[in-house]
Amino acid sequence: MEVVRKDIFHVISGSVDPGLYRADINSNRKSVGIIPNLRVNQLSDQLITSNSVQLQSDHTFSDGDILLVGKGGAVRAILSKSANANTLLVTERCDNLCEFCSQPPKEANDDVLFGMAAQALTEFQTSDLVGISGGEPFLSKKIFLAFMSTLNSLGCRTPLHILSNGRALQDISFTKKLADVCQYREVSIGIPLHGVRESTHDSLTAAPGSWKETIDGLINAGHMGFNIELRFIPTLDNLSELEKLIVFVGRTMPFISQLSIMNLEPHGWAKKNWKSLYRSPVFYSKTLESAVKIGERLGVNTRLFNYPLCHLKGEYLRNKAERSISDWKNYYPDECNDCAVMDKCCGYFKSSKNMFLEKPRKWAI
Amino acid sequence: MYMPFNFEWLSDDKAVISNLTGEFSVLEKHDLLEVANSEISERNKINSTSTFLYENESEKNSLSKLHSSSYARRTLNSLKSPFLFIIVPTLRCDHDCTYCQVSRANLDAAGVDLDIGSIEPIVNLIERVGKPPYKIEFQGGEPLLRFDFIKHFINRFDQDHGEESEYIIATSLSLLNNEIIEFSKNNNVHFSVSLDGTSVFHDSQRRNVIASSHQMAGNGILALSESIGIDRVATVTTITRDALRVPQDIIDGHNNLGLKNMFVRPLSPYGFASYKMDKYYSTNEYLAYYSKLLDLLVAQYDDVGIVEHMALIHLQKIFRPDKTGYNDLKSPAGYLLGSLIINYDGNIFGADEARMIYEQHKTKELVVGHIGNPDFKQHDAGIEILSNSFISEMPMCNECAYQPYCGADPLHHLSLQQDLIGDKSTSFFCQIQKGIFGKIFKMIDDKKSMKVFDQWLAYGSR
Repeated sequence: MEVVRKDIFHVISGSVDPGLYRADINSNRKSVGIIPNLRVNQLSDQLITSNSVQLQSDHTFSDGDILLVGKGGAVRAILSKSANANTLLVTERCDNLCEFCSQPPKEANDDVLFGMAAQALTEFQTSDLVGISGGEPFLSKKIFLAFMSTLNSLGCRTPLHILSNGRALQDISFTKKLADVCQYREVSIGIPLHGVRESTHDSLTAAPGSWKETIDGLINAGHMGFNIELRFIPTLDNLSELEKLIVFVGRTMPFISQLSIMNLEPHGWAKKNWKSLYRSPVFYSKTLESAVKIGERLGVNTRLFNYPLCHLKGEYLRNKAERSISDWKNYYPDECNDCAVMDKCCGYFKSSKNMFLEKPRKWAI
Repeated sequence: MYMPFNFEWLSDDKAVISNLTGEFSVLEKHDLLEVANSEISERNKINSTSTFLYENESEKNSLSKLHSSSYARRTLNSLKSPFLFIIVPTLRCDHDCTYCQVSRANLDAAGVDLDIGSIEPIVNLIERVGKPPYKIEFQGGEPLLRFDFIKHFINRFDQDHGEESEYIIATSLSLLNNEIIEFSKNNNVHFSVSLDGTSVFHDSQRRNVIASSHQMAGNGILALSESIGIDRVATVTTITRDALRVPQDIIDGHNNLGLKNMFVRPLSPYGFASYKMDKYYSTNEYLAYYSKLLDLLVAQYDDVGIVEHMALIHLQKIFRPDKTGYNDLKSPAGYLLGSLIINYDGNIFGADEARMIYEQHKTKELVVGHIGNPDFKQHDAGIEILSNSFISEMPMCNECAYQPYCGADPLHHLSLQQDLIGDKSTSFFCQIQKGIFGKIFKMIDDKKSMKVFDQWLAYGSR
């Protein structure tokens, strides 16, 4: 099983201390100078000096990529020109404990990740959208505001899509400060709402009071003019509320720019709780179609994330599907090789194996 | 436990309920009674709604905030809408329609035309008050009597704003000629044409001494369809007494000319029509007609594919109240907030109906300024109109299930009842709106009709 883009490679010769580096492959682009260069040699007979390495020949790094060198000599690009999407992890701490969390929270202070993210973004110099993810990026409001301030003063204007549970936004003064500090770039926030009933949402987040705070946050951020993408993750516990949720959102949150319905990723806690959470989309196609149609009527722009096309019934739903899986964790089982619509399909998560793999349905296309 | 809601009976055993968010549900009588008595059973249809019910104080709290937020947004949205500039180059007209709203003048009348010299100050005014994209409509009388003015104006305005302007000419098309067609081809000109049915019904109300008004309109529409395309031609249909009996007529009238869109409205109480509103027809008679018309259009949609825009606007207000702006169904409905009218005499008004009222009654308070000296001071009448247009605070409107979707139309009430708010129990506007909303909700509750409505909504959002 091959992922679409492998993202971890090993040093073959040369040595370099662990840390953050800017890949210097053909010295094409000018560096900002915040992160040290790491010369990546292409040919085996080139001189290996300090701060220069030779990597596996099949590496997918480009000039200007931001590389994280680990202790064992593994090198991963945390920002890459050859990625279909880039996302930076800024913290692993979170105040929700969602049953299907694919990035289960840790408690240790990891503010250093913000510092690394600021350096990486500034050095990477892209005008393409970069995701900011966690944990909960807004958990420490001060740190997040400082992070944005830093980017502003270093002249980095990269558009950002921030994934958040929205609870911090219930603090109106934080929301105002955030709007101020975000005015220098395009910013959108992706916020999940697990249900229209408080009990449904709070039992899935295992965090009492989270629904109330997220709703407050959505109202505040919506009125402040933030571009908000609302997310809904169907599980056995909340699927029955999908149609209600569309109406709920359409009627009370006309400011959301998109509603993304996201199929589960079998990673982290989702894997642990798979049996009690996962419902095959093949069995809720009618509900999905009905919900998306209701959304259409109300002017809610609905997209389907992480659904292989053969798991969706009918052209209408398939036209709503996105190629949403990051290439480094994306693969297509062998059965997909002769599929006529493979280039339009998002395929699978690399963690969708064995009991977590819902097989491709060749006859459905 | 339920949030506050309003209800209206659609029939003896069905009611539509709605709340501040605009969410609605059609309930059978026994379900509604259960809710009213706070004895909601498990199979009550209200359980499938999203914003009506709450399970505890915490949910009630959050829902209250969401209801208020929804209402606030809708209110604010009503205060910003695409701006329409209306210019009346002449009040003279070659037609003499029985229901003329503007009180047209004879072809040889003097002193009812705009000077070419007024073009420059009008352009300056538009640039000062508006911003791109510009929408400018020429009305009359018959605007094509002053094609010289229109041509001059468009050439002048296009110098600076050609890329971002849309022009509309509201005309009977009786004076359409090749020069006008050529000019329209080369500029972003759209046409709004009165079409009241097939020739018998159209000509009986829309009188022209030279030829059949219907024939001229039909020929004009066909000529435009071939040259600039049918997408740039929209029709307006005013229903009068005779047409009530034959709803199929207006469908045929449009279908025969290859038109896929129609816009049907009853008489409005302005101009010549205001003197004889009760002689025309009762609101019940109109609503019976309109109801049949919608049924026919839905039944025939697969064959003739015609979208009726009065219904579409109501549907858009029902399903997307935040994304829909229509001047006649606005609350609050401010003066000068949706449109600005430059009349043939240089007077500036804040609403189309205002210049019609002024023509009959010389109501000075409605004049905002003059093109010779457009110095906008605080306009007290404008503020009074605005502050009397919040329907959530008006008797009867505050209890109506259609409130999230309806509007105030203060000038209509000023004209017919001499009061900006009026007595809704005897209001022509209110009876018509309740009737239209009632019919549409009945059809929404019917799967077959809703399927066609979904196609209309999709067309409307393309």
